[in-house]
Amino acid sequence: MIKINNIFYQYEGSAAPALSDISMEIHEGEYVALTGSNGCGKTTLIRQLNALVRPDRGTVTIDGLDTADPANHKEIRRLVGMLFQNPDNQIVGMTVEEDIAFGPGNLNLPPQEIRRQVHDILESFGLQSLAGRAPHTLSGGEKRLVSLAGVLIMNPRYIAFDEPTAYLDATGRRRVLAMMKQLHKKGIGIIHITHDAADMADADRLLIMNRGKLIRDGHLRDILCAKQENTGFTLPLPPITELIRHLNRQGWSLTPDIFTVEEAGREIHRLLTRAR
Amino acid sequence: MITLGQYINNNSFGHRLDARVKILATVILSLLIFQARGWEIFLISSFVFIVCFICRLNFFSIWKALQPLVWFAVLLFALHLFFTDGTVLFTAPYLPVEITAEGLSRGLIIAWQFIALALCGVLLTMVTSPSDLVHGLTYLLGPLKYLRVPVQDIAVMVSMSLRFVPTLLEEYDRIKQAQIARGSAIETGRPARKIKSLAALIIPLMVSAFRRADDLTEAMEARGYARGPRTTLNQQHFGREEVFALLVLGVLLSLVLTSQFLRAPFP
Repeated sequence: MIKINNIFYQYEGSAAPALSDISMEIHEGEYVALTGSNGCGKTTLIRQLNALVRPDRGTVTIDGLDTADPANHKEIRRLVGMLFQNPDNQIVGMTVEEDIAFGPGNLNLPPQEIRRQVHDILESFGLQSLAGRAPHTLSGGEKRLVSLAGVLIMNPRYIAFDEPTAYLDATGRRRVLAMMKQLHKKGIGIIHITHDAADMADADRLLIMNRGKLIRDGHLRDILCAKQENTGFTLPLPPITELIRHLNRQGWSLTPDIFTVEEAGREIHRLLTRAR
Repeated sequence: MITLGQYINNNSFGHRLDARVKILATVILSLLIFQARGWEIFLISSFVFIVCFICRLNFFSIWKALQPLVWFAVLLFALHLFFTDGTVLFTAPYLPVEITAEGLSRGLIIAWQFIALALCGVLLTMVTSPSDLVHGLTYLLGPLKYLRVPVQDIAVMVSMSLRFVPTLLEEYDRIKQAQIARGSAIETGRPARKIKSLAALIIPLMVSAFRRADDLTEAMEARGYARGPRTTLNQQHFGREEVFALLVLGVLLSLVLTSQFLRAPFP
């Protein structure tokens, strides 16, 4: 379990804290979406989970390991994988297979074991044909998958995705989101930074941040159904919800609180069956 | 698309060979090239050409790689041809230029030495992937760690630099296009204006490179990188092919050294 206990963090030379009074828990296997306006502290928060930055006050523990203790960092970085916004800056190897092997190399695994693990992960991602390719020759979607493979080879318990669908076309986006759902099914905890309301619908929990503070923590449905308080951040509605509410305003009797395509499909089917 | 180096794996004997052996062979050949005289030149040249043939390399690609250096070889030849004293072969009318037999032979040898040296380097990069090259060098420089030289960290730095060369070139191209779109005279202006607008290209590129370096450091840390020993995917292999290659190299070395020993005046 990831436990964040009343943390405060301020970048050097910055006037305002990047994170303040944040407390929460993320359980193993949980899918958490994290949203908020640009610069509200989302990326800083997930960097805390990987011990890339440590809180000035408060504690962050990953499965009981305190991020403040440098002796825990290697294990913490194995437990919490990070997928950065720009995969170009995450891929460090000269070839795809070398990049995937970077993490196990840091764990000092023997070369034969690294080769076996790289082979397995390339096979599971269907990336065998890219093994010897230089990273700059890959498409955006392929780069994203390679960086994800580089994280997964470490067998993490949690993965933090920082806007993983940025810079991707529709196909790449679908592929990455499907991969994330698959990982969630396998029991890996997912922390997903996103601005897209449609992506939030898949999450077990939605966290909303504003100006370094955690202002909402709950399920998307509950947050959207509840009376919106004036917190300085307006959560966008998923496009499917907007459509259903629009139809509702046009006189169609549809339940307004629909947030996924599946729910919308069921509701429209119900309406059409009744009309027939 | 920007490509780095000229390595294309065609699984030839030379491509399969362990990078350490190839680096060692290149170093030995380079040293021999500087010592070679008379028939040794023919021997070494034939050896290098046979290696190119065995590695199934495209001679046009080799020529393309050597082309930028040929002018320098011509310059070296000309300098020795015109400025070496000795038996005069030809005197240019109305010009203070004399071509001597010594100048001609010296110029030819120096130009050959330079081209042969460049050819060895080209050959090495054509049959060895950049990563194998880095791993081979790391192994060969291994003993330096006893002098507290951080060989592994240097290897990571070198491979990282090689990894980012194409990315930075792409970035350079992107910034250039953006500046041209905003009316910059990088391509069309007068030389003075071109140089001035170059600053508008270099500064954003530097800023971007530093930002990338920051992000990269973080990404490496996030994946568990720390200074000190680490293992890699690449396994060094030393088998029959490597022994054979070293034997052939040994024979060449002994032939050249024996020839030089016999040529040297006895005390």
